[in-house]
Amino acid sequence: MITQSQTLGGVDRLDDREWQLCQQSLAGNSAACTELLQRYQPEIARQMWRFTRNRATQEELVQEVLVEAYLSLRHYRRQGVPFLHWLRCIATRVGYRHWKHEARRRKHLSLEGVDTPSPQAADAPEAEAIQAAALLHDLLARLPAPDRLVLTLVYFEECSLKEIADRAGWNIAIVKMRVYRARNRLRKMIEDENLTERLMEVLHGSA
Amino acid sequence: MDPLELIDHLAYKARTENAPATHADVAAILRACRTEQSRGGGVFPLAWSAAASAIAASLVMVFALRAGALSNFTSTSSTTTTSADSVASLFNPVQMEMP
Repeated sequence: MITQSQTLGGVDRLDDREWQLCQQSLAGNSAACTELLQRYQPEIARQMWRFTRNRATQEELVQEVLVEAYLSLRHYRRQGVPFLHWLRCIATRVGYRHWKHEARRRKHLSLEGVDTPSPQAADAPEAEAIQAAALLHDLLARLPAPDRLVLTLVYFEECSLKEIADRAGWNIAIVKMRVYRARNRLRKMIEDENLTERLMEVLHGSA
Repeated sequence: MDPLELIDHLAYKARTENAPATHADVAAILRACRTEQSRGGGVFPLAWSAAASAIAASLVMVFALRAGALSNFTSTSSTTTTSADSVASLFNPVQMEMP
């Protein structure tokens, strides 16, 4: 288990060891590449959990990110950004692609595999956090994929507009417009479906 | 209360959730990637093979036409050409009206 504050404070910086591993990986050292990707697996797992609540799918998405990172490693050298930032961009695009596949698949299959950890198994604050995350995930899942992506990055990852633009590969003006539009859609959805009470229940831990 | 304000509070709580860890075998994944690359499979082996077979099929067609392997088809098409001409003349009112 890893929290965002740990990653931001710890491995988000490009340290000497990481730089060394990057150089060795680019030179074709597979052990170095393995260590480099293994180092960031917890962070990628955490990020992919924002794109699915199904454990098996999360595992698949993490593997997909690792494969894409390995296959495009030679492009990393030119970017000059910390390795984790580069990896997060790949993860965001893999997750977004997964949503689009899911949307196409859902036209034929109505059931969605959701594997939310049991709140009973966790302690009270963790159970509340799980419920809150599951509810937010469900609400955002009803939005179109581009709106869902920007709000997932805003609410779950606390990304700025610039960070969203970097990760999604979109223009910052487009991101700004999408965030505005997506928040309005979310508000309308909550009002139309009378979800305020449900939100209050989860927020006050009486769900 | 504004619904978006509620969502902000919900998101604050949601962010404290610990995501489940994954246990992908990175070494095995990279080994599989290298094996696939050494076979020349690349990232989209199916797409490449489909494109290659489409190109091959069109080349076979071109060579077959040049070699006259489709001469039967060409000879029977002469009637088709005639009928095509007559059809074209139907759409040319000037020709139709001229004596």
